[in-house]
Amino acid sequence: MLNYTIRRLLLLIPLLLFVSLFVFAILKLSPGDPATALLGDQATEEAIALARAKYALDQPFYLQYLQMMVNFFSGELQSIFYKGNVLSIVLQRLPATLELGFLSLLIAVIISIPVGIISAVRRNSFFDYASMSVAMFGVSIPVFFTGILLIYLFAVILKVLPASGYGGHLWTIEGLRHMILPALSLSFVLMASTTRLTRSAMLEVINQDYIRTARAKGVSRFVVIMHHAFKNALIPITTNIGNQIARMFAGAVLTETVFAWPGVGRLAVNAIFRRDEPLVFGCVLLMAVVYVIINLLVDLVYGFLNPQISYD
Amino acid sequence: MLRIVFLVNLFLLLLFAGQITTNADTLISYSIFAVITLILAAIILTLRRRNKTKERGIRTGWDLMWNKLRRNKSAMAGMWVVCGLCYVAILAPFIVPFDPYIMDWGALSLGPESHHWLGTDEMGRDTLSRAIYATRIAMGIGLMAVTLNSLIGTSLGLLAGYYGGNTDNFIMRLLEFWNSIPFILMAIALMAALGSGLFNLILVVSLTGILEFARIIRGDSQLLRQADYVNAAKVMGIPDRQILKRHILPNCLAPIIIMATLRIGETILTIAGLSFLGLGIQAPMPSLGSMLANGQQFLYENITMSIVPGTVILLIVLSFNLFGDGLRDALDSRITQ
Amino acid sequence: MRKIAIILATLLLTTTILVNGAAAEKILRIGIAKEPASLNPVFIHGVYGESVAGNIFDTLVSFKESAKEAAPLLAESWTISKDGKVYTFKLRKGIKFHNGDNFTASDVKFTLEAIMDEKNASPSAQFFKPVQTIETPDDFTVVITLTDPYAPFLLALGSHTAGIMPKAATMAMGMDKFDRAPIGTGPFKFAEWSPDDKIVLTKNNDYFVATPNIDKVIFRPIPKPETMAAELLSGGLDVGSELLPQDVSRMQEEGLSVKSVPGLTSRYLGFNAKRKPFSDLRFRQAVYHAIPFDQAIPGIFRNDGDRAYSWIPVGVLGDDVDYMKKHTLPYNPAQAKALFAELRNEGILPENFEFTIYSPQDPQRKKIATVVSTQLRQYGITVKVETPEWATLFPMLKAGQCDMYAMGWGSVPDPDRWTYKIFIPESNMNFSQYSDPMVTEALKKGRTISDPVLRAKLYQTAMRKALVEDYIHIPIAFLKTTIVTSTKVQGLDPSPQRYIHLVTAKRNVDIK
Repeated sequence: MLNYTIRRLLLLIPLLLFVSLFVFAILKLSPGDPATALLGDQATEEAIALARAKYALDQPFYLQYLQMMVNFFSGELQSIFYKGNVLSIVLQRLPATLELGFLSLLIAVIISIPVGIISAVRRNSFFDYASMSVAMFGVSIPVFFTGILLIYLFAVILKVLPASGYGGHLWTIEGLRHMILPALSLSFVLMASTTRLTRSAMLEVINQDYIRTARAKGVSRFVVIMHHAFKNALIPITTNIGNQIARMFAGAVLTETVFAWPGVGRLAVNAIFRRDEPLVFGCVLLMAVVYVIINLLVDLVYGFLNPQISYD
Repeated sequence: MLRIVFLVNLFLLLLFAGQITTNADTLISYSIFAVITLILAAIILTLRRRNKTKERGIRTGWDLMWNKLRRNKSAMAGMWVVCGLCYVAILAPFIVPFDPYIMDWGALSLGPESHHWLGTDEMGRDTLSRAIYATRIAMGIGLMAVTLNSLIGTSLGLLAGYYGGNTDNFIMRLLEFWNSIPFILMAIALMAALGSGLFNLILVVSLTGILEFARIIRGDSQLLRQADYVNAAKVMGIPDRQILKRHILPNCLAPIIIMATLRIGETILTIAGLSFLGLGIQAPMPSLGSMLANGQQFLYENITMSIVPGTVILLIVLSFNLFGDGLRDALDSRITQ
Repeated sequence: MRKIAIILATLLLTTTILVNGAAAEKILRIGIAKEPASLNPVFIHGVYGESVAGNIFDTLVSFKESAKEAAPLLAESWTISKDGKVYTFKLRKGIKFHNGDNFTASDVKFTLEAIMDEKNASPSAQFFKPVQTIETPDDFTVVITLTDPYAPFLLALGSHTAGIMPKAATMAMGMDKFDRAPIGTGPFKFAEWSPDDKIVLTKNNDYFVATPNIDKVIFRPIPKPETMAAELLSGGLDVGSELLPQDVSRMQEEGLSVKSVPGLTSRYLGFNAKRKPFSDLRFRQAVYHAIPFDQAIPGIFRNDGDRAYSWIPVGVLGDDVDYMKKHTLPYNPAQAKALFAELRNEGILPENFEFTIYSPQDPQRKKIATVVSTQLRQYGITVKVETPEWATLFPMLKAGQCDMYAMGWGSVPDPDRWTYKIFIPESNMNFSQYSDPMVTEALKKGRTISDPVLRAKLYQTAMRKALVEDYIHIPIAFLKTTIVTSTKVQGLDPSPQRYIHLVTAKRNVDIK
């Protein structure tokens, strides 16, 4: 398992190489340049030329790339817009995004797994139909629209939760209050897919022989469901959650825009719009690393749940 | 059933014949519709011939699938809605009550009323007409992007699965790397680099989710590679290309179709998300995403402006998903969402 | 038991005091549409940076309340020599920067030289081009000598981008660091900048104009106007700006206070003077005739803007509204059709002509572009609307690559700022690549003379030629500045330039 982890982490090297080359290529393909974006509408040609020299934008591409890579790995990458260290800027924003992601994951799991189990156990009941329809709707509405609807409902009409912004860490009351709405809007997609998957995974397991044997032996219905069936159903559910994390990152960009959330997604989008090349570069590379690590964790949990899997 | 549809098609063809020459849009629509009608006729004929020649007891895999699908109510509902949406999309120029571009400055931001059934937007354009045209564009882009997406995903998956070893390793690792870049960021950066335009949008959207596609096709072709008939073909010296084309690809068709169907919904949502960030389909062309993003700025004043595009997106995504789920249940249970 | 009761009572008491203490702190939460890029005056471009910096920094002279006449601020008084070339400022004594440094003439010299220093690439350097020397005969006198007379010079000094910085602290920190930790003399001290989240300022108890009523100001960048409206309606914000007109009318119904003044921000449509067929006067006239501006402009801007007829805003020297209004081309489809047909016959306008109109991403300019596209479609011209990000669009505009564009401008109430950079051939803001000797001469002369009557005449000549003879631009609208505040906020009025000034000689915003 340690070997496996190390090998997975070693894969980060080619990954970073690939992602960095790709991001750099896109950045250089884009029309316009960071100096113009920074100096705005009144800048003169001379001023722009000076700024270009300041940020080494007048160097040949391969030198710029090498410089960026060296800076990235030595933690010296400087944002043009924020005039600060990229690593510290991203790390400053990362908690907001990770906490939001964590809370929406939590909401999704807490709601969807029980609902999925009940739907499977009471197959074709009213509850089953109702929850499956809601889940279907959940994946069919754009994230940004659920966001604004939640704001209107909970902040403007009911006035129980703040409309937008970051209120502090997840574990503070103010922080939690601010996080509920964006987390809820972000969790819809995950909730919908997890509910459906839990249901189908449970259905598959429930009909298997060993469950029937257990029931025949007199094990209580609840124990059978929770101990025997659910444990096995957990495997596909974990995989799905792992797969969905990438999608959540994507959804986070939209959610963060709607809720004026100071997260990494919005940071990266703004960096692209502002042509803050070092920041885009650093952001995307760091996000790729975070993604790989989260997926590795999911895989390890997966192996923990399913002893049949050997890491080779 | 098919015959009724065919007759309806013929009737519509005759009905709209008079309007063909209005502009290029109508001409294209009309010819597409005519081609579809012809294909329908061909299908009816072949089915009839087959029924005559074949004995009733024998069933092919597709028959079995169809029977299974037919019993799935929600899948059938999804299928009918998809068909209906296709009709709307293709016939859009003939059925819109107004020109979706025309601004009526005397009728700004109206709710539903007798003249404009679903009201107008803040520039006096008919919401119903715009929604119909937007459906046409969303379906068109969705289908094209998904086709491109399936092509790329399938070929990469096939190659990886069939050749195995280093090829497999290389392709799959590369796709995993690709997947690690948050998609929407990549889309934004690519749109910024390539410029906005329908073609670029299709390209960018079709580059997402290749990994999931390739993984499943890879698994299938890995299994098929070991099948006896493939081994036999190899021994006979049939070139790899032929084997892939004749023996492996046809057996992967079912999962490809299922995944493509399930993908369309997501593609349309992605385009809507890009429109929200101002990178989707550019004005003045009507698009569901920008209609919704615009409508939510008028949520209080005129709620129909958001309800209409929202409902249409819901309808498209929902029906494709229901249909795709049904297909999956009928064809293949290995693919999970 | 009694002990517990006492402890509980004490606890209760302390919490009440604490809570009361917290409630007594007056916090003003302001929503802004975009995060400023910089807070270092030398680097600031754009209204968002100026708006925040205006509360941290002070300038030599002030235009904060009356936008037309310069009022003393850091400078107690000043004299201008007869030839208009030498400005002598007497500085106010006893002013301290937020870090405790004394304010002296050397800080003024340092700041202005930093702006003019090419290395800093300051966006406002151009306004100081005519400066020849800056001398400081003593600690509280600054003498600035210009190469040529320059009428809008006081405006340049009064702009927030000329906020005076402490020399020693800035040099110690470096320009870039100072950008993220600015120190000024203004009513509020910089406290915290959490990117994309908030900028926090705290009260400067030693402010020489007045002690601010508010203890803490939080500027929150909120990118979506609909979210900002929701925040205001739910009480999450005290002040909101740049809201959508439809939301503003709703908030008025909900009892929030809405204040609006005619603004100094314009929207216009421009043609490219160097590219066919846009270079042909008849094409521009035909487009003018083809679009029902009188209906479209109120439709798009609602209560948020008034139709513009000239570049120079109403009320600014040389505005000439009546003449311009009379010579504006009316909506006339027949005339447009005839002109397009004529151009087609001459081969200037190709059959099935296609071009792209560019606009930034804000909803209103996008709508203007959409209207152009929709209307010209009826004359067989296909117009694509492209709304690239600023960093992409701006270089294209400057290079003169845009055939047609919907853009805007915002400035101070002086005709020079509204015209010079737009119409002079060598200016990079001349997106239309317009070049007319008569206009150029009038504008160049306009900035060097100080007699208002003569100046007004020159700007009138220039605008008449460029706009209602050559029709190189179509002025669309002057936007109003509207701010929405909760009823608790007192004393805050919108400024035409969209600044948010909290404490000036005449106002001291408070929150009840």
